[in-house]
Amino acid sequence: VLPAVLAVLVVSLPAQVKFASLVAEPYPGLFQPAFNGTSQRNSDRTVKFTTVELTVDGRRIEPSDLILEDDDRAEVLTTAFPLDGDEAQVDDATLRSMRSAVLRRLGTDPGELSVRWEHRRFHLDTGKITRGKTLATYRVDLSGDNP
Amino acid sequence: MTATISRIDAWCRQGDLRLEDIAWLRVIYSAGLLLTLQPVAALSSRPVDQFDPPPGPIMLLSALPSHAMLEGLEIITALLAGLLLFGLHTRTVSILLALALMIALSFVTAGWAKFRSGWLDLDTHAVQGHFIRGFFVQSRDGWLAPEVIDLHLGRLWEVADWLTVGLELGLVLTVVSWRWFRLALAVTTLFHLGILLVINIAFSWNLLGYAAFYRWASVLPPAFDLRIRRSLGYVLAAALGAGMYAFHEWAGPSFQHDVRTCMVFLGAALGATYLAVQLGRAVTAGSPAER
Repeated sequence: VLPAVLAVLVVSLPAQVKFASLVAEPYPGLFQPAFNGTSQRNSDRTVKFTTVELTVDGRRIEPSDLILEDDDRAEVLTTAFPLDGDEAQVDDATLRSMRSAVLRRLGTDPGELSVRWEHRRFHLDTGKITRGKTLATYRVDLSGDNP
Repeated sequence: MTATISRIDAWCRQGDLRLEDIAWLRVIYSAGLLLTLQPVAALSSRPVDQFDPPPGPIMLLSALPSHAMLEGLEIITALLAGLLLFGLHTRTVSILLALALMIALSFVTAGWAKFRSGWLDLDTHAVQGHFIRGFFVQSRDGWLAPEVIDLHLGRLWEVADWLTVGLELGLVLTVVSWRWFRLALAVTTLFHLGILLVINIAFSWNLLGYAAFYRWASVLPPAFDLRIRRSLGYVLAAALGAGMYAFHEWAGPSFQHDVRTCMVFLGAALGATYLAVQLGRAVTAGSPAER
């Protein structure tokens, strides 16, 4: 059975690649992280990237401050705040977890979490970063009044 | 299909791996898994909206599994790795844990995606772009990254783009020869070390896959012939799996992160040594005295 499974995986590779480009990368599948695309252009000597900025009652915090148990995966949190600026849908358990994490980090009861997506540009020649367009902003009520 | 299977079989038989090498690979692979058990249970605390599985069997689930189920998955993985280490149900367990021989083809998919998305365009430096994005967005700012961020040698970055695509697309061509494939894998271990030092990503499990092609018995002691009762094997495997799970719970994710980093360094050291030995042999074979 195993050779047959391996053979099917190999033979179906072109179909897997086509499917990944048309729909999404399937799982399981024969894929290494692709890192496709490039955000750097020589024409303006900059690299453009998108950041999510988190502040609690005006104080800047890092994504890792909201996921204390695993710093290494803190970047996952950025996907929790969609770019479309829609109202954040955070379930009660997650809200409680975020609230206690921020309390531990800042030492005070948090009120409102503000999330802002924006473009940034890294200038290759100067090493400076400039802010670009704000793509979305919204707020999450972390206060104890929240249900 | 039968012809394809026959060709794969024929290719496998071309190699010079012995049973002792496979036995060592089993030990190294399962030990690697036990030392880098992944903490997945914390995923259950993510908001429901984050559940967006890729096309595949996970789509059958309506939401992220519960904390207990994910914890169970961690424990089962540890127990399976324990069974593998003690040589119990190795065929079934191996199928469950990994299909590691697909390395070259998986690299082709990554290389193809890069090739199609402008990595070879001389007006872009894709590696630099991904590096800078990771540095500022994902805080991948360790090892050599603070020094490299100021490196603005466009040609060097472009060479990195071309070498990356060349390596990923070229690896599959070396599959026709075990010697060339091993040399390519040795180069790839250095590629992974470069990625770790600059982009701070440890592709440690790739190295466990590459380990399948190394003749471990040539550098490690002869495989020991330890015979124990099967029932005792189950007890030891369960104890080891459960013990490692408990240890990871106690040590936290930084332990497996550190082990994975060490694996990349160790893999690169082995790869460099292998390349040096092969180079030495090639030089010796080509010298006048040897002709």
